[in-house]
Amino acid sequence: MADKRGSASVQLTRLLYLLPAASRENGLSLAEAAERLDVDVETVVQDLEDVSAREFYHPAGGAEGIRVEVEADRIHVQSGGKFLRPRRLSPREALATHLALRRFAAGLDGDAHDSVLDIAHRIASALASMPVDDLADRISVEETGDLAGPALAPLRKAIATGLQCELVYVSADGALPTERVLDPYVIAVARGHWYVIGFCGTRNAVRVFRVDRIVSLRVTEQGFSVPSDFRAEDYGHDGQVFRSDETTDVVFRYRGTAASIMADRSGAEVHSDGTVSVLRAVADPEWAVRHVLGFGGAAVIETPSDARARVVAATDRISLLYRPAG
Amino acid sequence: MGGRSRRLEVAILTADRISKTQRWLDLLAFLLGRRTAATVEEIFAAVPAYCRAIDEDSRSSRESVRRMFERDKDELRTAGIPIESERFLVNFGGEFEDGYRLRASDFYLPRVRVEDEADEPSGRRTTRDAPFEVAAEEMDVTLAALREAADIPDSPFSADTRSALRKLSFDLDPISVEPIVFRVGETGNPELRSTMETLTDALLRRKRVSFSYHSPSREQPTSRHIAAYGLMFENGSWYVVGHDDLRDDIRVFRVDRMETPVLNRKRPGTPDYEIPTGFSLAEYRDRRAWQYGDGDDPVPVQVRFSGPLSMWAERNDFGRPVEDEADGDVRLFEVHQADPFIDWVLGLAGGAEILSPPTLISRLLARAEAVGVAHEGEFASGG
Repeated sequence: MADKRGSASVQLTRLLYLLPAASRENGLSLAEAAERLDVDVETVVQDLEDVSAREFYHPAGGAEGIRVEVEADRIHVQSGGKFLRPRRLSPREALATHLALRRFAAGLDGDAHDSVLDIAHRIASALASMPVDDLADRISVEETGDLAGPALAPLRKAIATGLQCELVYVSADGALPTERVLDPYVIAVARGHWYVIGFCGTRNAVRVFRVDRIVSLRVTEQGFSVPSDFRAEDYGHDGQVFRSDETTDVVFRYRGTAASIMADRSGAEVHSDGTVSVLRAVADPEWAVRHVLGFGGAAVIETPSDARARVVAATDRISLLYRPAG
Repeated sequence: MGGRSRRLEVAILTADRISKTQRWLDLLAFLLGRRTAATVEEIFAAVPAYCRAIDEDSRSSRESVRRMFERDKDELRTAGIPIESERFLVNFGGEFEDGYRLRASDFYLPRVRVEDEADEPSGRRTTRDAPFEVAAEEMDVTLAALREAADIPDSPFSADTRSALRKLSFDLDPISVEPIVFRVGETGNPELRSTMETLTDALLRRKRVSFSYHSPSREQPTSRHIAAYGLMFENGSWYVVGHDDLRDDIRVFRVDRMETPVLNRKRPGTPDYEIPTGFSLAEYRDRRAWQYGDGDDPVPVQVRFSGPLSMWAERNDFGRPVEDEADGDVRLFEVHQADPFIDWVLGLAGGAEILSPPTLISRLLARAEAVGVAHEGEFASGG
């Protein structure tokens, strides 16, 4: 059997959670343990066998003995009063918690922002084995760049409290801004772009909005609830967020740095000339045009031909913009 | 899982087959069971892996076990287990003895007590092992923050985040709160994760790191040697900020453009550099690709946005409005790298127009024409 235990440090981290969790009155099922520890059941069993094996070299009934029983696939541990609680947060866990809370705070405004930072400091001082040092200032996972947009904070609040929003939205096609009433269900992030998915009262259907294109937003007092059959996963497709009612398959060809990044992301094979072809389901044909334009020549649409023709039309429009009047 | 019972298969262990994890567990169990510091002799007598490895007739075996204990102690301390060294008097004050101690209050996670708003504060004095009191709303926020952060793709802290989440919810009833944010198509990339681990290790230990870098503005990769000052996740990508030997200045590198990162293995316990006290990672955040420059003076670029897009540009603070334009449609950008800026404007598909300087207009038009030509007729792989 392959050894799935990993390094001693990793295995000890698992055991110092597993032992207290299984010491409680009802124990812990093997499946629950595996799920919580992000490992398979066999790894949990191997960990338990390692603990049980200690009985052979500790004196019977010795203070260091830990008794492990697995009955009906439920783990029960008797540890003689030791390891009844998990250990404090390790330095990396404390750092990770601090970064997570600071990231969350960055998406909030005013007092809410400050109170989340306050929790971060309280947790670090009360629950960590040692203080979080200045490393917390050397790492940032805030994701507050302009692809998030200022509407993100009120949207989070609206989703958490189940309140409807009124917003003004600028679509990518250059059409006039539209006013919408939205029941925001969930926020989606794809390749650094932030979206909100929700029921649009104006269109009477579930719609996807890019958060940075919301140019004004007001959270109302009107409540809503998310329908039980709503599944956010239905709106995620190959790194994009859209409704999948009608899509077109578009094959893109990437070269240079874009090719290696796309090969890593999609797992697509690299052609002999170093380029990479990626098939994507595209809901908005103009998205495909903006996509290749944004690569400035490092991406080309292979098929279909009407998508290629749209790119030609777009480049003609761009050239016209710069032609002197008259 | 049904009512199936499992029989644990346990091996009879000799000293050399006691694993490192078992040895560590024995050491922790012994130290946690004491109220006072233990001497090395007491530890050796109580921890079977040490005890059995000592051959009473051999001085070298004792020294080897001592080295094993020192390594164990150091590794456990590095993992954040606060084993204290204590020196105390023995033999009626006649001599000193070194001892080691692990206080239960420093080791075990205090109980987390979630209070409803109606609850009165307990007024308990704040001690190291006092329960950690937190409002229900605060705990919801903490768990939500950890859940979201655990999903950041290729994060070197994913496992630590999930482990912290498990611990902080140890005293709570099982909860199922629907997440507010979900990620699409960001399942992570093993190669990128490995690079992130190397870079994080370099940053935490302040060891220099070398790699091959594919800059978008160069055909061939360049060999780079840096002292990492910070890591950041922005707009869906990881970046490392550090002092770059090639440019002799601070540079920002996108991690997915790196290949074969190698950490300096010489003198592993000693940092290779200090991070300058004036360095602030915040100065490098919230930037777009064209703002990561080569240190040259930025080029001022004026861009006119079409009506609706001007609202979008204003709302997101793209550039700044040009004062003498009454309608606010024209915005000024400080551009360090022209290529990514031109690509960004092109990607707006005519929704924005560069007004100046002429050199950038020419480059944009040339690029637009090339893209147009590449899409005429049927696709040809050589085209």
